[in-house]
Amino acid sequence: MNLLSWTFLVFSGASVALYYALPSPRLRQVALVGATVLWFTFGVWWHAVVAVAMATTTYLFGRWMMSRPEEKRGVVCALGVASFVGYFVLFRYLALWSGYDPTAAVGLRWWMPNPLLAPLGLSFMMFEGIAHLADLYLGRTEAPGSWWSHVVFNLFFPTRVIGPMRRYEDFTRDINAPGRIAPDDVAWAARRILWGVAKKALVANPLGAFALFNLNPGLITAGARAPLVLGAALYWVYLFFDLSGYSDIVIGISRLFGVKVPENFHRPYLADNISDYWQRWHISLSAWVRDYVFNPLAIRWRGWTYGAPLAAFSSMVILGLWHGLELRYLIFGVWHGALLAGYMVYRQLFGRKPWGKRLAKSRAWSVAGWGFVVLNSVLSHLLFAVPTAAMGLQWLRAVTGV
Amino acid sequence: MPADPPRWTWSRLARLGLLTALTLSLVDLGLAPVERRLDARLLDGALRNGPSIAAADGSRRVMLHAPDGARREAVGIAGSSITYGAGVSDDETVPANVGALLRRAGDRRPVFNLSQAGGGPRDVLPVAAAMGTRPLRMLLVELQPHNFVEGVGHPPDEIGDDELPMLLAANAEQRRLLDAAEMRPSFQRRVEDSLSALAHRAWRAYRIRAHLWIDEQFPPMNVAWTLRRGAAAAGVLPRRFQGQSTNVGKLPWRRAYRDGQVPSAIQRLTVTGTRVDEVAYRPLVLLARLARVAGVPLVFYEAPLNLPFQREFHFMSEEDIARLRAFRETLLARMRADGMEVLDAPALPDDGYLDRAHLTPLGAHVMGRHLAAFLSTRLPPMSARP
Repeated sequence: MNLLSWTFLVFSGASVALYYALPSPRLRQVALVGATVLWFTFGVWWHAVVAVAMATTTYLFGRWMMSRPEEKRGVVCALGVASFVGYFVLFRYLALWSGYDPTAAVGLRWWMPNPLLAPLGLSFMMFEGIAHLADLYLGRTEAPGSWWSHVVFNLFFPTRVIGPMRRYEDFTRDINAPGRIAPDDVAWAARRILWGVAKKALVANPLGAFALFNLNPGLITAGARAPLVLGAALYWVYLFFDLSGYSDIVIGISRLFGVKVPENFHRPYLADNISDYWQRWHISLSAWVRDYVFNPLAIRWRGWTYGAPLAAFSSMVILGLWHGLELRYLIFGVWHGALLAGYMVYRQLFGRKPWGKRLAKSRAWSVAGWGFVVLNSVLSHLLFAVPTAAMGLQWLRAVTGV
Repeated sequence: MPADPPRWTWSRLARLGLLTALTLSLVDLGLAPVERRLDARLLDGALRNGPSIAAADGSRRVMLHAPDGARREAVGIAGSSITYGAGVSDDETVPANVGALLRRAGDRRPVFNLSQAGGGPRDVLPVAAAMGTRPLRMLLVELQPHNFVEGVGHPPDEIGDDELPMLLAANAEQRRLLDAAEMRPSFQRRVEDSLSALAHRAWRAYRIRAHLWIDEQFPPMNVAWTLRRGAAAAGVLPRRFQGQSTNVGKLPWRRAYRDGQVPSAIQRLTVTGTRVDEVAYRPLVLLARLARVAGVPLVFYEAPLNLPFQREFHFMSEEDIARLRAFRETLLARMRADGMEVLDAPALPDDGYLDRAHLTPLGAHVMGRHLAAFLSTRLPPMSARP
């Protein structure tokens, strides 16, 4: 169900109305889960089964881990993480790797599982499940939660398509809160939803079509420099409006259910260094990578001067590959990993020197940094617009003439 | 310190909701004359972008919304940008010429421009499906033989939002044909279409947003074209700027590409083989069957091709041209053997072309005359004034 569709509008409106028509939080949660199952069924019914299975996995591993002595929890945590990665690989890549004929999926009836359609929000559910297990393991939380609470967490339809990623504890606190919705919340949510729809429909959609038109393989092969440069620049702008527009809609709808979903974008176009950029762009994802990949690695390698930069590099490679096991996404990860690691090395070597501090405060340095970040963002996100890394290279050749 | 009182109350929200609804209603009322004007031009075939979802939809939705009496007498003309009228103004397109010529001969039947820039016979399938419950007097469909050479066939596109209601208007027999061709809209699409139809009926601004709205299929260049078309219609720009084609000056091709100017390689016509592409041919057969089931005569008309242009810029060798001619004969013979009626392309004057195939006002007029002459021999007298 497209977020910008009449069906979604009617479905969301009806779900919110039903939610508040029910007297207790428990009944409301039942209604919410029922609505999400209906929502999944409207697309691909067995995706709801996968969501419940993943919720059950989180619950079972959480209980198992907490039932063991502290020093023996690591193995259970690792097994849980491996299960989530297994889900991801199974549903995302098994059909592809097994040589399944895509044309065989064309004639499948609606009730037959199509192995080519990976469950909606699969990667988000994987990350959220891993985060919960890691929090239990690291002692950030003590409560493994009930099976039902994990089902409600996973089957919350507003965030299932495009995130933002949530934390289990925050979500359960919000969803269990009694009370009715306040007019302030409705006004806030409506403003947020309308803002998101405007970003998506008035800016992202037309801009995206125009950008992709300028980046079509025919123009890349023909080496049409001006449209290629325009296409790349606009594609990045399109990505921002598209993703942040969707996030606004999701955040607004979630608020109507009383759930505060984390922000996902905070003016990334103002970042003047790459570290700042990743704290503003797709915040929930980069925060996850920071908390559950970078921090553990950086702590493990803390005795080595370049441990933290290497941890940043590794984190960004994983973030790149999260988009798909393709060369272009690997290049994206390596690219941003190198930038982030380079920036950290620079800060370590020169950041504390007097001239380094003066430079960091200067206007010219800030403007140059901003230009550098924008240039790299535009160029690296081009890898999402072209079908292959080779085509990206061809774009570069066409534009630079090299 | 006392807590801040809430900024919003339910009554304030309700007032805002009412005010919004009132504003939208007033805007809709104000748009009524705009819609009436658009509807009138639509029935004359002199409107390419009708009240619809987006500019790209053209005016195909007239099939669903035209008054029953007018539609039953109407001739639908469907094709690519050549028929759509890229490069000429709304009233200089081929369908507009056909309508004007018929009217001059005393036949006041409506002519619908059902074309789409970039469209082909496969894109006419929804129109043919809609004829199942909303028949026309006759349907003419543009044919460009070189698009059927083996190797150029593409897998079918997804059904567009504008096409869905037309497919859903098919009759039972047509639905069976469409099902067999796997052109069956899913349950989800049907739900979305029903809701969209509700909005379409109730909200005029939504209905005519092709002219007013920035849409998913409405990229900035379309905005520029829309503004340019509006400026040309208002007389600020020359009339030829009402259309769009790769020849931006809208001049006959020999005047456009002079002093060493060379058109882009996109104008090259490549004919790699002499066999018919089966994937591309299938929609022609389906189209003929859908029209037959609807009881509407269907005639394919061949679009003229500017071969001197191909020679002038060395896009095609004589060998290529001979291969194209041989292929054309093969295709047309097969279509006729399969029971399809095909009208040969007329010879156009040299300055009838903008580029390899798009027409100047003169070219569109000659083409319109060609089709009008054919129609005058084939159309029965009108049963009633539409």
